[in-house]
Amino acid sequence: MRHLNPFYVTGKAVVPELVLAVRLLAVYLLLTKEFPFSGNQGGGRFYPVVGWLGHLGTDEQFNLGVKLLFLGGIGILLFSRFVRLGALGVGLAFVLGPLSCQTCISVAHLFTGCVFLCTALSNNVTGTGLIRFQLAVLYLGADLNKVSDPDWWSGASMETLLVTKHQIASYMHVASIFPPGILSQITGIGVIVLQMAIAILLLRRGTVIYAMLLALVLHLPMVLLMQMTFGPFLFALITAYGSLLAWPRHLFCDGRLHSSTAVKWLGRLDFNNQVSPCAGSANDSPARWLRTALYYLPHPAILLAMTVLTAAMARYGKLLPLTVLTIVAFAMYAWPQRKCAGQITRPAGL
Amino acid sequence: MSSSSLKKWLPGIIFLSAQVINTLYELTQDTRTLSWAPHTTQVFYRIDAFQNSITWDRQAVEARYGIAQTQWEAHAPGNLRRLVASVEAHAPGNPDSVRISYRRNGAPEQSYLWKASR
Repeated sequence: MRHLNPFYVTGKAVVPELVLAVRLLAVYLLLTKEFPFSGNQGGGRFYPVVGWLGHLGTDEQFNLGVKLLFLGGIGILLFSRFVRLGALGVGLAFVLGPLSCQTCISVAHLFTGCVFLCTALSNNVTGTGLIRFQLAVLYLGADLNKVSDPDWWSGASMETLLVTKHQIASYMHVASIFPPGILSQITGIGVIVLQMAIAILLLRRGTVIYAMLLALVLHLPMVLLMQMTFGPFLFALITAYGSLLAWPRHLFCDGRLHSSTAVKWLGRLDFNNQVSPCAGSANDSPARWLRTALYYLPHPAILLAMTVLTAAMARYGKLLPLTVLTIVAFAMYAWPQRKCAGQITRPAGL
Repeated sequence: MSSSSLKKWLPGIIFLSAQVINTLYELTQDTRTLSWAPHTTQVFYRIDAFQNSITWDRQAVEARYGIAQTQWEAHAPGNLRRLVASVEAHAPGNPDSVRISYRRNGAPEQSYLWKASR
């Protein structure tokens, strides 16, 4: 019965890091309504790329089937022990999108689907390895498309994207300092170098944190400049990278720093034996609450709260605070793990 | 790596290898479908359909092809050509011809013309 509880993330066929990642991503998709054939991904089957997908029932039946696959998959991965089966359903629904609808092609949704599919193919031996290699394949593929395109070396691609298409005033202002096209050329080549570096750093577990740092440098300026999260892409990236960090099996309360009341509440929502009792003073200052929230960030309840907050910021276009939050989370939680990342051959607790 | 460990990795390795192979394959094509090519190409296009020397209005074009008549395409010009060819191969009520005018990354305008073979 305890598997019905979405906060219970241990005791599954995949490591807790992956259970958390796909559950939080599923909640984010529901909150932002980023379904296959919804949100930024078109309205339903439309002249499929793969011919036989056009012969499966009527358009209404097919679209309903994909939505049921998606929602059923989310239900299974949230409320049962069969996380991989649920992830398979959600992943297949996302991949069916571009294959059955030519106007729905979206790298953002495809990557989101691949996070679920990699989880479906994972187990306690692979740990989070498939997600790490999925990220490497993403950057490698994106880089190959750029390396082979002369427009990325000449700057024409970045110039068209940032100046002609999006007319980003701040970028155009900085670009005016340089000879025409030079900043776009530097930016284009910089993206090529960054993406290749990230792909290489992801190949070794010990350098994952540095890959994350470069990913922040690559993605966050684009989010701020273009004022978009690229549909579910940004959050899918955050959860994919987040799953590569070791999820602490135990969180120890420090009575001098943490709020005993907050820890008591978190203890009530602890279904993984993660929280230890707090024997501190009854003084509950805002600073103690803040320190508690920061230290207990890996607690599923706080991660869920952060997911809801992120969805709200994405929904209402508050991308600057979202960017700051991402950087703070990286600095406080990921960066300190850089020295031990290589020693994690298998996620702790297994 | 033991054989039992290899078995655990194999499905994932096949899945990821298929992605790499597909990305390399799509590099040889002028379309991008499941390729990892996010915002790699910016194509500004316009679709015009003609019948009996009369140009279809915007609503008719958008209803038939499912996309805006004039817009940005963020994958590849070939995706537009493939879309028009697919619609004209399957949907009844062909126009006499369809012209896609497009500029890829600000380059000089190019066009693709589809003609009814009747």
